[in-house]
Amino acid sequence: MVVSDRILSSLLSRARGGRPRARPAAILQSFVLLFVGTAAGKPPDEPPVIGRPANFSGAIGSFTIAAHAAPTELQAEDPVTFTVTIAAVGKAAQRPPRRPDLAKAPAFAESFYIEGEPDNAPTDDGQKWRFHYRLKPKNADVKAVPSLAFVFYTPGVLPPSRGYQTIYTDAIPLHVRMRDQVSPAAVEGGRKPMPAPDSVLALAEGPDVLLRPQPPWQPAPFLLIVLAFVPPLFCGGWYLIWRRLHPNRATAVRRRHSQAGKRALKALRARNGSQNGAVAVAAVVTEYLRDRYGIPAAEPTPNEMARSLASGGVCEHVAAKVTTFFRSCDTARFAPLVTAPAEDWSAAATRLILTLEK
Amino acid sequence: MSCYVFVIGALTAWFGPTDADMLVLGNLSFRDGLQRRDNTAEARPAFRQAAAYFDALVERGYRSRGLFQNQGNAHLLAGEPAPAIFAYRRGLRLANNDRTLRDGLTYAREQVAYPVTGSFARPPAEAWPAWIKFPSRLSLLLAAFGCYAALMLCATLWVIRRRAVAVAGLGVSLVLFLAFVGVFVRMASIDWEETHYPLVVIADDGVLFRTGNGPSYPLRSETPLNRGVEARLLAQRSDWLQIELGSGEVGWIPRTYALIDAS
Repeated sequence: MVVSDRILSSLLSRARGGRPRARPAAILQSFVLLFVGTAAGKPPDEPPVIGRPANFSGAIGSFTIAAHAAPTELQAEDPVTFTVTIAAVGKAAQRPPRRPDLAKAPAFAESFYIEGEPDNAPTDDGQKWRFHYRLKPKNADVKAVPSLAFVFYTPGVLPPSRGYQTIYTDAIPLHVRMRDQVSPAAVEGGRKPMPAPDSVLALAEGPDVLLRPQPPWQPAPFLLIVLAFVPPLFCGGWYLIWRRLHPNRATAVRRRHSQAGKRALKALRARNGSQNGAVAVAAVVTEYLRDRYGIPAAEPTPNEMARSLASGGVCEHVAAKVTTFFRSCDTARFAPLVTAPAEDWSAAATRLILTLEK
Repeated sequence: MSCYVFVIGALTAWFGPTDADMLVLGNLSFRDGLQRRDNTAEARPAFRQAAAYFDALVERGYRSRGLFQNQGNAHLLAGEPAPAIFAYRRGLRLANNDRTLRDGLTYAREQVAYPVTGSFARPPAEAWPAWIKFPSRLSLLLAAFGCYAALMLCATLWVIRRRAVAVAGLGVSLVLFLAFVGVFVRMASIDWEETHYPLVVIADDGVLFRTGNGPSYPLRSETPLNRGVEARLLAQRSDWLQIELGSGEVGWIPRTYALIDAS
């Protein structure tokens, strides 16, 4: 590389018209460097870009190439195995060849379907490479497997761009026949045809023959939504009505209690202002408590009332109010001199019922 | 008969045939062919003529079970199984369990040269049982709604009464409801497939089935496709069709060798 640069600079200086500095000794020195340097110097690591052919295989060294194809007599589109053998010459190749890409060779691509096989492992101690391909001639006009160009780089040649070498395989003649025509009988196996059914001999007639296609019916989304919600709504309504007519025990008790309270309050309003208020109001409240808490006695004493209320879940101070109320009523009943005004009894009874209903 | 055909043909040529005229002409030609059936050389042109009239009616937008039956029969008797299969298949889309169309299709498929061994290029399996008529969408919807309503009523009855009969009704109506919904979904999927992947019938013998859309692509199969082979259209690129055969293989054929159901 150094030698080449020196020669190049010398030539450039001459071309520029400068004074030639080359003396005989210098020229001699240049030639010595040229030959001695080339022989003793190391080969370049990378082949030069200048002058590199597009189909360079990447191989560095000296090589020979050979090709083989079998079978050479075949039908169009039948496969033929094409084997390319590349061998290094002399010392070992400095860089092995890459697999030749036949698809990029127009002569191959135009005439063959190319199917490669990934078996480019080198053989013979790295000195020989075999590449196999399955080629299918596209038609009967294919007469040969064309020659394949193999480009490699041989170092040590000057200028380096001259180091690219191209060698070719021999074309391999092929005899490609037309594909045999496949007759239906051959495929079918010569079956005897079945007789035509009577329906094949019949004609469809009538106005229905000339019908134009109608677009298929599509349910509207609104209709689907309505249809999806109608049954649940109907069944929900049914259940609610049934439940109204057939309440469960808790609902029935709650409803009965509520009705007892309403009746009692209504009776108290009706008796408001009557003269014998304490007795009547006590009777109304007793009736209410009988309905509400199931007190068995017709005229319970205050103590019986307190026990029944406690067993009915009424808290103590409310039960105490009820007891006090009835004691007051008894006092009004049996000691009329200390009787309270009639409207007080009704109001007291109303407050008591409302307290119990809370 | 030939005289009638000639006269009506001359009149319609002068005044221009109406659709009804075309149907009459097709029927007359078909009967003419039937009368000459003993002589194939004379019968086939008559059937071919009838098929041309029926083809023209289909071209004019008519689609009916009867028209497809006539078209298929005429093509079949004219020795053209591929358009016959095409017509029968289109007719069966309208009336899936029609016995006449099914018999014609079976007979037409007998005329197709399938490979002796294997299932390659054979017709596809039935997507819908032949003995069950396609229910209409409205009837399916009403049936499904009835089962749905019965399901709700039985559920409510069970909540109210806790009777075993309510549980039984609940189970039966649930099963029927799911069955009807399943049928509806299946029909919708068949309809979608037939719309998006239309029917293709190979129209000529020896059509090469390739891996790509061009003659430079290698063959998908060494066995060529013969006329009458049925497939589904997957894609179209310039003058090439990508099709899926009934046996599942996918490949490309030239557009000129195929009949496509564009409806």
